[in-house]
Amino acid sequence: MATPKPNAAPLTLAELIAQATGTSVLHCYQCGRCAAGCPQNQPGAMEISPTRVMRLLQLEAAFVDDPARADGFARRALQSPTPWLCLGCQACTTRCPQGVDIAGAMDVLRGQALQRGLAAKDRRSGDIRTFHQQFLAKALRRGRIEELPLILRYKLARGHWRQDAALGPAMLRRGKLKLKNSHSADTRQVLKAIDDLRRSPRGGP
Amino acid sequence: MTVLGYYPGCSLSGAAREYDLSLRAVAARLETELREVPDWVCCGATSAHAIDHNAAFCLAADTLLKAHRAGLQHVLAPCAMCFSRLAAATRELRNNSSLARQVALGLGDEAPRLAQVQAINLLTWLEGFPAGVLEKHVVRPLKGLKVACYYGCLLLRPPRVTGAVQVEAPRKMEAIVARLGAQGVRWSMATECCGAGFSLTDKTVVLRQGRRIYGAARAAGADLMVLACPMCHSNLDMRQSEFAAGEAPLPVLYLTQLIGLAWGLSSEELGVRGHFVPVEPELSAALARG
Repeated sequence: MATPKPNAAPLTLAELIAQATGTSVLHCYQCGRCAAGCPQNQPGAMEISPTRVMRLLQLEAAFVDDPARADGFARRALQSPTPWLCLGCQACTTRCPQGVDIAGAMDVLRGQALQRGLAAKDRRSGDIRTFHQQFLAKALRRGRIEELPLILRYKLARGHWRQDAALGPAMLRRGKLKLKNSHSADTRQVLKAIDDLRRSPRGGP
Repeated sequence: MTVLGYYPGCSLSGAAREYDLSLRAVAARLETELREVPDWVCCGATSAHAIDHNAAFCLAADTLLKAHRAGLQHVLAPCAMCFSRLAAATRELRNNSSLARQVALGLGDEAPRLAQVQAINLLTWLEGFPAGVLEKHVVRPLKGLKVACYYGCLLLRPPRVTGAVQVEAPRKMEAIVARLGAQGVRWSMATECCGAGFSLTDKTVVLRQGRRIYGAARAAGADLMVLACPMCHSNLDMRQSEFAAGEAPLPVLYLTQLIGLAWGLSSEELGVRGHFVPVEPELSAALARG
């Protein structure tokens, strides 16, 4: 296993993506097929298209000898709302003629944006980010998700109380929501495995 | 009685309880014992892998370990999301990446052993029954019924995880409804994402995608829609009165519910009455039109 050398240059986003997905964004030739099939790439819905995100990642890698410029491209990608607006539907990854795991790259960008404190600050991205964080925290804590506590916790954090207020009672009547947590599973082993990874030489996520 | 591992996932004990009910009813007729993975853990869904690859992998790997220890090699994961997460973890374990080795070690086992556990989705399970098996239970043939088979995202994509061969114009679900006497229509939105992951966080997306999918199914002349994902169902059934207000209702059924109805199982057994868009009136009318 490779141990990071002291003072080694930090990995580029393209390298982190290659580690996580086994595919390289450097292979992207900007055909735009990912953007064409993206359900979120509609007028007013996405900030920059996934094709442009791929370009920014290539530019960071290309300017590796000019750290200030490289960092500018990386920040532009990390601060964009685009990764947060991605639905994870895998259409881009499936269709990319160059085999780039674009949806997998979006996963890495979200994780890195959070770690570096650069995640997009707009309301919509913030809503989505909070939901993901609360969902994951709950899955790790209780081992199971139940809809109602998850919904209430999210609304406590983000507001939007009036949205879908009428759906709650309708779902309760149909047995689709339960008032109390009734399920859980043992997650100690999961937490230990995650903790082991964090301490490992390979480093955090 | 065949024994099959069962990973219901969180939705099937909550908002998608009718999927669990109807699946169990269908499995009983097919002489399959669904043996739940002991103490299974949430797959992490979209949220885990969206922000933390390691946590997502550890969650899914833990369930695979629990299945392995219970002697379950094949695990039916009816929820498309759960299936996708478990299948992705198995793939990573088979590639035996350094991450997979470390996580397996952290969980107290070895990657190649955990990789023996394979999640299967509803379509793969059903198509495994030879000709005649699904057909012989049919007491209410669905002759003349036009069905929009909706796959959504994760049953098929990405193919290196799901093993799907036909990703853009799949016909697997159509083949299954044909065995009940119904006809799968050709339509344009069968594999488009419905956006349900944003149901809470960005409703405009959900309504926009729901509207597009509903419109395409209607335009193709579908009497109803079948699917195999709790997220898609909650969106396309529960929100239909919003994105198609005042328009003709399009019942949305789990594939297992449609099978059960063709087999003469009761609405109660199949949980059909818990839907927002009523099923039985539309189904009877469509069958009468033949």
